[in-house]
Amino acid sequence: MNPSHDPQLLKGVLSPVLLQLVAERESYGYELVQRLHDLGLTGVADGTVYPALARLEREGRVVARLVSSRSGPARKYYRPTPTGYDALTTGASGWRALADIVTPLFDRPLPERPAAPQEED
Amino acid sequence: MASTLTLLDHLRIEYAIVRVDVMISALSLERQEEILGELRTNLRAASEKMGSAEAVRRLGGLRRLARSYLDVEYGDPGPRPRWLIGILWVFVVVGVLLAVAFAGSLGFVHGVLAADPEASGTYAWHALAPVVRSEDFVFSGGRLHSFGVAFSAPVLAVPAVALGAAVLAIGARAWRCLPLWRRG
Repeated sequence: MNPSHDPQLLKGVLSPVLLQLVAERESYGYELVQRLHDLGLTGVADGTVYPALARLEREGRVVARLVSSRSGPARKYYRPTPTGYDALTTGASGWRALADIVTPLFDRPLPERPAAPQEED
Repeated sequence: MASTLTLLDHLRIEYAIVRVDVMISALSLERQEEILGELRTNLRAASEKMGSAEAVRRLGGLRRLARSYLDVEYGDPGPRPRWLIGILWVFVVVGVLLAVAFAGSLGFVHGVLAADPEASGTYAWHALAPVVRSEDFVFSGGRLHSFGVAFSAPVLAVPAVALGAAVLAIGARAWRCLPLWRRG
């Protein structure tokens, strides 16, 4: 069973994740939701992804173009800008740096009860 | 591939769109159209897969969605004035005032006829002073023949405009514009 993903944790990494996905393949909003779910991030609400894309576009990290669709109205496909690629690099590095610290921390065995506080010198 | 959406799906999607539209009315019309157009496209795509009810539910709350879009544009979280609601309140208040004036006029007419079932001549009603100098009702043999309304000087439009502005400000909760308010 997959562990549930804390929405607050996801919130912090959603932008770089979206940038990574659109860097791999231009996608429109709902398609990105599906791709996130395929990755296992099923707890991400669709209504979290769409404004996140709007924010990335406003910040100049992605650009969009309309592509006509046979099954309905034209869809807005996103891809990263040079600024977006930079943000992706920074975001991914930041995530890895954080994981390098936090992962070993969570691997430490826990005592049965917290140790007594250390006396200040 | 042909769409499998039913009329109910389309109605459900459009209802969600309208609700979000009202909540993002603080944005420019152009931006609203962009957001709503894209949202409609995404909802239709999701509805093809799982039905419109589930597609709307998976948005995670329309109010939160709308607030997120506003946060993207304006930066700070927090409630903002809703000018569309304020305008609707102005229409409501004007409607109520007109209804009250109409009811009063009708009462006056009935009162004249109750006093004199064969009333003839011009009867003036001054209850709406100072905004309306008088409403003149012309009776002929117990039947209302015509009526006219004489408004007071244009300067009295100022209180009317002030009242409208106050209703707009209160209805839209305009104080949310204030930096002190927005800082909480």
